[in-house]
Amino acid sequence: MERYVKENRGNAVQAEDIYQEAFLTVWRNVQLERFSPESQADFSAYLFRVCKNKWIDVLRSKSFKSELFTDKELNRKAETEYDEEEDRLIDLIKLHFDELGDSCKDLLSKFYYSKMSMREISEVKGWSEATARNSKYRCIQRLRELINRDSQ
Amino acid sequence: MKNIHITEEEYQEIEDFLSGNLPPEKAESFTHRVDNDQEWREKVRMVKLTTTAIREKALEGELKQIHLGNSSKSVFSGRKKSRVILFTLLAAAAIITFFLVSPIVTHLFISDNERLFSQYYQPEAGLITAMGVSETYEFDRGMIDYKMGKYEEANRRWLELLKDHKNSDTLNYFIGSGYLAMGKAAQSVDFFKVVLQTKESAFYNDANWYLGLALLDMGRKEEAVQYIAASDNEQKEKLLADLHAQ
Repeated sequence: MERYVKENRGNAVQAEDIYQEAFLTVWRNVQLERFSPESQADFSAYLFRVCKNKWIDVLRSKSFKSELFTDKELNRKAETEYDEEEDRLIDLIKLHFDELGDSCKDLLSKFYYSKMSMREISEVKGWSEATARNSKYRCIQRLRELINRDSQ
Repeated sequence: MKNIHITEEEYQEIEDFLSGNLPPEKAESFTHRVDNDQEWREKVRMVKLTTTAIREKALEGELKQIHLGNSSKSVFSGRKKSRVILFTLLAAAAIITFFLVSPIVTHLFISDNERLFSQYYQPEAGLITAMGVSETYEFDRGMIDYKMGKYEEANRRWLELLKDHKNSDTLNYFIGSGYLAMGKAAQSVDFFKVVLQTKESAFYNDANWYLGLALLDMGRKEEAVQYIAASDNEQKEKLLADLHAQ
């Protein structure tokens, strides 16, 4: 990927940023079953495709507008899977997640990302399991309120 | 986001379904409801998107930490080294994520033996504890830890007791079971072998079964077959047939 970006008017730092962004996109698409890889090669090829698309977007942006496109391939974006409405909603949830209190952020991250069970969380927090469950639901409700308020 | 109310019970049920933890009969009626109830379908979609967003946010935070941590490490590490590390970690994360989320690909990374181990292994259930006040107290206390999934704590207690009861089939059997439950198959082997020195032991058959599974997980298939065949586990014929078919 780094070589591709460097060969197309970019540098290593830009390649790094593109890779990170593309990785998150692929991760989301796999999570939402928009893309189901059947082999590791399949996965790598898809990741590279997303990286290329993102770099093409950069090249088409303002900062590169004065430059002339000579590479035909740069004018052709590969097809990848997106759902604009879903992606917008996910970005909105991520945005409002930052507005939650530290306790909620920690609890939700432990449960959804670290995959800790409610029992494990209750032990770490010194709560009963029922309290942990209820707190998790209240944090989700708070997050939904923030999003709904923003959508109105 | 559409302003639909999802009760705590509904949220729990949807999460159980999405994580595959709903019993088959409930999962079937759940799917039926998804197909026929538009509001329910929307609730499921909201829960799924919220879960994905929270996970993604946490992953993003971790990636940022890697990025910042390495960039400021030292004047000698430089941007290039930081980039190499970041790329390596991202590639590793990519493979791990891929591995975790795609059951199809699990087959590409796990050996046949490990797959069979996962398929047949069920942790030893443990004994009923009376919590008496005699010398059995420490053993019973360990059993409570074991049943709560605190295998390390249980083994710490039992290993202490083992110092004075080296040949106890009960202690050796449960310490071996604890290690196996922790995913430390290699460490469980010797303990199960001590149990097998006493044919009359109440744990003789189960020790054969778990020792066989431990060896299978370690890739020592030939040895594993011997112990599995010597057990009386109800699954043994099926597992032996699967091993034979490999």
